[in-house]
Amino acid sequence: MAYYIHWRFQYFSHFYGKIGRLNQNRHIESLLSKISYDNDEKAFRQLFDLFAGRLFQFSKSFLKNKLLAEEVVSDVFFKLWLHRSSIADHSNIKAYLFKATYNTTLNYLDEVRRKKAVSLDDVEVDLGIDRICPETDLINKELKEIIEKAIESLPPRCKLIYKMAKVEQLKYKEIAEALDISVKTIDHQLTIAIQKIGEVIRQYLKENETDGNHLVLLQLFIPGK
Amino acid sequence: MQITSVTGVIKQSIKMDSKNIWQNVSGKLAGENTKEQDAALDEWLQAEKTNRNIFERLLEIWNYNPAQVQDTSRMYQKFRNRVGQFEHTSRVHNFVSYGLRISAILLLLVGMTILIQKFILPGNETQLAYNEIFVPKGNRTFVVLPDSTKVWISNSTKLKYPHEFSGKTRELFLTGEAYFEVAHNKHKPFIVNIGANRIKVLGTKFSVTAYPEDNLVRADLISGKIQFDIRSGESSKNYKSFFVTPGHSMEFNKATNTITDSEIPEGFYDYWLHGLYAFKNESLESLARKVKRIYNVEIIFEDEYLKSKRYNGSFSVDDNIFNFIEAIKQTSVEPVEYRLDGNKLFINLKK
Repeated sequence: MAYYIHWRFQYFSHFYGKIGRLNQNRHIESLLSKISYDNDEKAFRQLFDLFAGRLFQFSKSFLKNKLLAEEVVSDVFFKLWLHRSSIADHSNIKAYLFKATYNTTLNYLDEVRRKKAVSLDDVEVDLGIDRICPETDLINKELKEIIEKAIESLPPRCKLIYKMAKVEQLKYKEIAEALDISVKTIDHQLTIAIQKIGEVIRQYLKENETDGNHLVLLQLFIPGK
Repeated sequence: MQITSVTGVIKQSIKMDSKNIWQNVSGKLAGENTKEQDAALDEWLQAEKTNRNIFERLLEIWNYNPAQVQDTSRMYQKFRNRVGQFEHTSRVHNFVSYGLRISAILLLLVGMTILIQKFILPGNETQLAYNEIFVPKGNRTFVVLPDSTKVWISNSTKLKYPHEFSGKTRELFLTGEAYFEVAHNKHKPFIVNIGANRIKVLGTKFSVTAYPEDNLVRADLISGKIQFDIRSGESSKNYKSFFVTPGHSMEFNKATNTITDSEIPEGFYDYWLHGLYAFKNESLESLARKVKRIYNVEIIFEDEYLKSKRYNGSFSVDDNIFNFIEAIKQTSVEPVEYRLDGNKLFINLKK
């Protein structure tokens, strides 16, 4: 029965998530048409504020340098501003921005580091670890720390893809296009991440369950009055 | 018969527990699953309570995505600067092409009658269009020049460079402080003009510090070869040339007309690439001059004695004046007090 209630709760939260996303997409669409047809600078600023911080984090993963990452982001938006008349044609501005940021970032790297970045084995991903999720009934402090550690220890490429799928809510295809790798790789890497987190949760649940069993056993051996 | 079916079940459950199932779980979270994958996942969830417990927790983590708030105003300012710069240069561009068109028409008209003028008029077109970047106090920026040389420009610095390096040299003008990674081109020497003096380069990494209000002009060389040209006299056209060794700094004192050579200070890269300024045994008076450029706050000494106090430490360009002055306050043996008034910070010994 309890299981059933949880399912309903899940569908609910999924539902709300989708509504939120739909609203945001509509909001972005209206911004784009204002920018494209009315040269609206205020709308452009709003679009900037929606994405600049996230693109900055993304670019910084490769550059490991705040100043350069800021330059990259301002560069990407500068080019977007130049082509603002055709901005409404972008069917997916988010994917476009991530792709443009990735390409510009590579331009800012020297040759040696560019090769490393292209192989994605040398990125430094900031997940905002302390905000993985709040402590809840399901996830207590101890488990939260275990999960955070597991995510932290993921290989850089895996962590980056996990972040893009979860935090940026990009589809596999969009991530693949932005980073110039295959959808299969995205699927594979995300599976590795989720498996790792899933396994530590399983381990934790198992340990705590057996602890409970030990208690019961002990109680059995305590001689009754 | 029975035995085979049992092994079949075992095989299936092993398969479900490995890779495949996690692919379905992550696909579910990311919303990428096919119907078959969803069905397989459901089966897995129904099979064991632990599976459901794990999935519930994964879902909770996945769905928790608080809005990430970040201050974007500085980046927006950079974007605005770039747009401003572009509009400025394109205006220059338009002007040039406009000029070209007029001179072409004139050429046609005049050329038909007077042949000599044909040779005089084109002289007007070959003027170089310059870009000029001014980085105000309390700011830094980074540009890539037309020859793909990278320049990190420090606060209150002006850099003037041509729209295109078309001549025999790559020449630019600098007042202030900048770090260069020059693209190698031995056919076109790279020349940085700093007031009356200049630095000549082939391809290397180096920085220049030349603020007009400071007596010291400095060049720090990381690698490669640079030639520091110092003008022999105020009105002279000749230069005295000095070569800087890699890993060394050369300092020219305008007041005493002397040159000193020393090793590059520790933390050089930190300063340029991460905006961290480290100092050793530096007087507060000299620090105040740097702080003025970096944070755009003037420090006013109400007690002359404070000027000569010396400090070791470091501060970040991205930090603010309060952290700086608080650190000074806390490390001072004699108690110090300060107050901020607009862009001026008054400091005094505590009475």
